[in-house]
Amino acid sequence: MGQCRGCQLEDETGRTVRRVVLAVGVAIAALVMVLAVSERGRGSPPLPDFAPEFAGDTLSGDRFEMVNWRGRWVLVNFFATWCVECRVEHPELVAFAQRYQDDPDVRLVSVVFRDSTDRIADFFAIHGGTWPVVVSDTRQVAIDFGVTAVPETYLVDPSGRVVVRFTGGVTLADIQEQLVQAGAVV
Amino acid sequence: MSGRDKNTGTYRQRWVVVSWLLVGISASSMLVFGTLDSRDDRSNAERVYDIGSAIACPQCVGQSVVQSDVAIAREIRAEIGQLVVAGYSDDDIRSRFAERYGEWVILTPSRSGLSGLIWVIPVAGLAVGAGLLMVTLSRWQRASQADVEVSEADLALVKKARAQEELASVEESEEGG
Repeated sequence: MGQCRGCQLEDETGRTVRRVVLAVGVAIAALVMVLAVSERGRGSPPLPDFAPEFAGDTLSGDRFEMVNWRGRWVLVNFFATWCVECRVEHPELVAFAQRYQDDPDVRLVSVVFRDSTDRIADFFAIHGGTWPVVVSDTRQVAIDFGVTAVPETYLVDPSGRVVVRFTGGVTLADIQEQLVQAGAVV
Repeated sequence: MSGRDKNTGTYRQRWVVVSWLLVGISASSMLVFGTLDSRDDRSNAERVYDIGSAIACPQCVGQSVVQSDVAIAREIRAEIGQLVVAGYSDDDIRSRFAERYGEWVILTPSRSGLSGLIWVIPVAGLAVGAGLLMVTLSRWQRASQADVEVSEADLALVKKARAQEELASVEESEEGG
């Protein structure tokens, strides 16, 4: 027995609708899967290719300009006195500064992160350290480097390229290992 | 088909066309007014809040920089404030943070690349749905208007059924009265 024409059309339309709905469903599922797979992990921010050419006033009242240290290995350390890990790592930085004080090709600079100049001055007076500490215009420097939390330290090569980022407290051994790997020291 | 039926059919068709036109005009008006209404009359503080709401705190989980109180979130909020005052556009400011911290800090999906499909799919879905609806309706309309050959026997059956219906309704009304 033949179907009526209207019924045939309704069946045909229903099939088309089902096919389109199925195709759209499959496409959405595929998209969700692709987005889930391609989702970049939060992880660390991308390492800047080159260190920002920052400048600012230091604790001692001098002017620091990163560009003047081009051609040297520079350790850029972000810290604050309210940060426990920064206080823990400070003796390691003091040791690093002493270890390389006679090497003109290796330098250390600290950049203050949300802290007052008075507290920083007291901290350095008590715990030692004579390297430049940048205390002005530091917010933009931290953001330009992609700092997420202190302490964070960057090793910059003589061409200005960022070689490695240390997140959390750093030790003299960690820094020396990276300098050796990079061929800066033997 | 009688002349009256033909006229009724044309009348209905016109109403269908008018209805679709009204739907089209309403949708276009909403789009046009939506676009025009996007003019920026927000204060700087409102802009900082809006931009900060769409930037993830790099140190936190599931919080924007306006929701978080960690040091870097405060710094980013302050930096957004400075950039707003300096006259940078919302897009410029977002790009700056995406460049420094990675695309993932931007909580609003990007309009380009694979993520851009998130914006395209609902519109495409709406267009496909509207298309399907129109195709289905026009097919149903064609089917209802299709010339169907009716045999004498079918006509007699319909006549008989109508007569029985009328009889039943008359009996019902008499019983009720």
